[in-house]
Amino acid sequence: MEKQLNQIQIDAEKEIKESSSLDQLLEVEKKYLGKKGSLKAILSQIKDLSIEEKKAFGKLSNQIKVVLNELIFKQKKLIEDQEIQNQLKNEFLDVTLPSIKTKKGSTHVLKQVQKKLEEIFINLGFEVVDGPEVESEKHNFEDLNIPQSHPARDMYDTFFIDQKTEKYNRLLLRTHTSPVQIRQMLKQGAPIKVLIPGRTFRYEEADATHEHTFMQYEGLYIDKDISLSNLKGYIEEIFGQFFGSKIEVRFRPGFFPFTEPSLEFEISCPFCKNGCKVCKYTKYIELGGCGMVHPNVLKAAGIDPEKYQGFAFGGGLDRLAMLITQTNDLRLFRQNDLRFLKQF
Amino acid sequence: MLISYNWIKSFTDYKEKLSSFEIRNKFSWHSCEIDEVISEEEAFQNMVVGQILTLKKHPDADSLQICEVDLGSNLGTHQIVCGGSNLSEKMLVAVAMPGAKVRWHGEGELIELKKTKIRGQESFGMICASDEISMGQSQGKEIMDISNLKLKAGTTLSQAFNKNDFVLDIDNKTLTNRPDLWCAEGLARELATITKSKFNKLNPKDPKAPKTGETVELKIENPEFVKRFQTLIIENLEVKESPIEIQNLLIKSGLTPKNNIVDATNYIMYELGQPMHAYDFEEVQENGKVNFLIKKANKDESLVLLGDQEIHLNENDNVLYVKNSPQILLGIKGGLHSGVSEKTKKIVLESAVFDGIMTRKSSQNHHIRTDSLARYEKNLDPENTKRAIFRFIEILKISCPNLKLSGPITDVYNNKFQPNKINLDINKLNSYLGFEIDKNSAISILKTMEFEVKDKKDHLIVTPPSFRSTGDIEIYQDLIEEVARHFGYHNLKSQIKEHSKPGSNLNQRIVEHKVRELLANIGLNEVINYNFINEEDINATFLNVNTHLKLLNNLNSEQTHMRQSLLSNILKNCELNHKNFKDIQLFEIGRTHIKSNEYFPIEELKLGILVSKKQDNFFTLKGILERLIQDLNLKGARFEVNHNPNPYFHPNKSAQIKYQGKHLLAEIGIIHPSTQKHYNLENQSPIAYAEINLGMLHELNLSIQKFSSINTLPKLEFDLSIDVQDSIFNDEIIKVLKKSSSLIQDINFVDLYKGDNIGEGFKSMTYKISLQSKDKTLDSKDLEDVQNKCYENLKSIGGSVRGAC
Repeated sequence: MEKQLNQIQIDAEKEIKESSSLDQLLEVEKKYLGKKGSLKAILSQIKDLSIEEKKAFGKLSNQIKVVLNELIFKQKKLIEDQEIQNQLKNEFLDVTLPSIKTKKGSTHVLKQVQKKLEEIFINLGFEVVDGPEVESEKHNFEDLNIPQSHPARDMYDTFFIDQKTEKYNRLLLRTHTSPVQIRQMLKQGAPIKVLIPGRTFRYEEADATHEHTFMQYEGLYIDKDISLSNLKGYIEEIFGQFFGSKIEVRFRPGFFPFTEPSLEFEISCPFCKNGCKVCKYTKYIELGGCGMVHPNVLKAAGIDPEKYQGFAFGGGLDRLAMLITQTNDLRLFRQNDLRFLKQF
Repeated sequence: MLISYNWIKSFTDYKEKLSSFEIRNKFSWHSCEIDEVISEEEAFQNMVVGQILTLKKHPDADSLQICEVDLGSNLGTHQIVCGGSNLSEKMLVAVAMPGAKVRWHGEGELIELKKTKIRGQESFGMICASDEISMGQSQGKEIMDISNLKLKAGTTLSQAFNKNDFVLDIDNKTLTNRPDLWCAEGLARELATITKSKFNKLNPKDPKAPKTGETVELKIENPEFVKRFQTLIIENLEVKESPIEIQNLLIKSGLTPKNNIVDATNYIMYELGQPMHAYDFEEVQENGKVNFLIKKANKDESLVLLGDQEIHLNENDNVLYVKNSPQILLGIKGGLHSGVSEKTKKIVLESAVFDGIMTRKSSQNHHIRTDSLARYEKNLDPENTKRAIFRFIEILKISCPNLKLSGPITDVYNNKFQPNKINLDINKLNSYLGFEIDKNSAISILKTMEFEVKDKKDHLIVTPPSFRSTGDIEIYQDLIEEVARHFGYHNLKSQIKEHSKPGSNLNQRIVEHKVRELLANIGLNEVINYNFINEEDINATFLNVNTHLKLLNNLNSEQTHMRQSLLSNILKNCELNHKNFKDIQLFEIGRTHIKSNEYFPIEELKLGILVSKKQDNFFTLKGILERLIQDLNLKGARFEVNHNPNPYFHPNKSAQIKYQGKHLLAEIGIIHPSTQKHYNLENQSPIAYAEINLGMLHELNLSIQKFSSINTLPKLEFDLSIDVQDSIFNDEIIKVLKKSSSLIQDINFVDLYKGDNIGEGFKSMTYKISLQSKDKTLDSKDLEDVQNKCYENLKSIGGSVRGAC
């Protein structure tokens, strides 16, 4: 009997392993373990055995059942895997066919640059502030230490609007974001640590590198002990983050009526090590102007220049956008051709 | 300003030879920006003196000869083909070798030479005519014969012609505040400080004018304009060419030499920064006496300036009169009639300083810019006028050794220069720099710049020289700049401050960015337009031209007014892009301006959205706005029929969004057909546009929604079709339906149908209505009740329900 059982096991194991399809395996399972299967058939002979034998026999047949079940399970997995493999082998998708498009619009690249700058400044503790585009001559010039008839006014070709009062002088389109310095200092006093991005205007014909309408940004930081070394530190930190690489700032003497000392700043080219097209092979890129805020400006904004000092620096946001996108024509930004806009 | 570098250098003991790159950097990092350094030597690269050894005829060209030319021991002998008519053996010639840049036959652009064959014969470069290397006019087909220089073959041409100078090109803008830098001497002072070498100030000799003799009688009616006015009469003069060295320096500065007297005034302007003027004595004398009257110009008089330019004077002009007739626009340009001519034997020399602002204003009125003005407008040093006269005589004596001073130098000098003492606190200096600087290096910098310095331990008492005291150096911050730039900005540390918390953005900007990203995410493209439009745009959008801000000065007729709505420019974008795209959905976030009674106009932040597709423009745009309202969590923003829309909308196809019941947040509608046509968009389906007052949304409601319990009881649904008049709005029908039962949860519009079996002027509207109770499962009785109530109520708006009894 035991021999019979062992023989069933051997036969069954062989047939299970030889099954190559799920159907075949099911047949084998039925044949040996099913209600009318061989194992059941043998069990029908148990009644003629002694109790001892019954026990031993039952135990053995159970063991065989467990072993076979396990074997079937494994074989089943094997066959399924095999079938998937076959399926994978035979299936094919031309992944180079065009996609089903999700709707994609675009934000303007100038605004992307603006937002990026805002985020960097905010993380460094600056507040973003704002002022009107149509501004008074007083805030735009006189409060910034640029009196009437000063030769420095030549730097700012201005759009005027037919409106004038004693207090504010002429109404104009702001030529820089600096009048917001005055407005904000008058509003909050010192210390002050702000970023001013915004639209500015110059009365000049547009060409590839000039626009009558453009965006500027400027950072202003006034406290008791802000220094030129801080100015250098912040410019390096901000543009390092902006261009995503360590940069080095380089200063040249400059002249702006609203800062003293006044400097121009350039940064090491973030796009190359040994000169490239963007930096015109000079390894440096001119970015903007900066300096320590002139005491007359602080006074005009109600801040005591003997107690407080600090820096302001700024430049063209359009220029940053040109650098990042490597666009060589400024006019593209405001032509609003979808073939350009959709690239961003 | 163009100026010779060697001239500048001659005022210092600086000996090092710099490249043009180094010269540029030295000035740019410490002083003023140099736009360009033009190297004379570079222009003569690959050019040497050659000696013609033999000449023979070119076998294939009658006009050409083949020359064997000795180019010195290093270069050896080479064959050059040349067509010069004056070639001869032993002649020394200027040879441009391959790599040299020449101006072919003295015309056109520079061309780089290559080794070549001319009519089959090798030629190692060319033998040059003078105009081919910018050395003057050529005679016919003659090449430049330089045998008289008696030089060795192989000598470089730059050496041969002594071309080792650089010309610096300095832009006016970089020197707005530095009148002292508008001359060789001033730039030399900077160079000496930068290179830590010695500065040799020019010290012209006093010509010892006689104590008595002829002088100018001067009357000044506008003393606020004349800071100092010196004159001197000089006789025994002979008008001729200036010495060649002086001519050369003037040529380098871009001036054309005229004659010894005029050149001397110009020379001194570039050497010492002091403009001067020489009047022909004969033209300004009356009975042997000279009477000058300086005053504001009489209105409507005219004056002919040098170069034959006639101007009409006005009260902003300051003019010198002789015999009641204007002679010169002071500080700007001399008159044609009283200037020096070939016949001049005696002159009146003027060396003066005028008010910068007034001079500038006068020049702006006439749109005249001159070298003299460029200096005067920056406020010149009145202490410089006398030195200039001394120097003028020194220079003029070279060409007129027998000149004679006819009388004493007269001098009107009202507000004599008073030195200003400035306290420079060393702590302040360090605090501005961000580190401690060695006090002695600060003192040494200031002293080389001719500042007087008294060291008082913790502070310095600094007296700036007169030439830095005309508005340039006034406060201690100015001194800090002097020290810092010469000490070197590259020596600054790089330090940022600790900060305890991040800053923040403006609430409105946060809204703006959120809107921008949302709209881009659902497929719209952002545009950025100018603020400008013109009257045609205003008329085409039916807005009121009187409420628009008008520019006093505009760049062109398209851009004369400030926009009050974003629409016009977006329509232009739409027109542009329809050339390449069928479906266009654009938005812009920008400011608009409306005239107000106050000084400042009303400035608002607007969002304009335009949809121009083949169809469904209005409802596409409506969907966009709904999405916007949802994403911005604008509870209480509601669409309403717009009975009084902005005039650029179709009067019967417009809606508005009211915010919190009262504020007008937005208007949406189909563009007025005339407006659409004006922008050449008449072939497009009616375009939809919305303008949103973004400025109204100061703050975003970013709070997360509160939970409302989910009703798990089953819903009942029924469809309902109703025939109503065309003019009945969907909103009205829904309102009526909603009122019918509190069990109604949702009313969804399914279809609008117009056609054969519906009467003229009527439409059929179909809705799916779902019912749900909070506390019981609804049965068919409930459904029937609600239906009946709906049918009943709809009668109030004249609707008849299909299939209802």
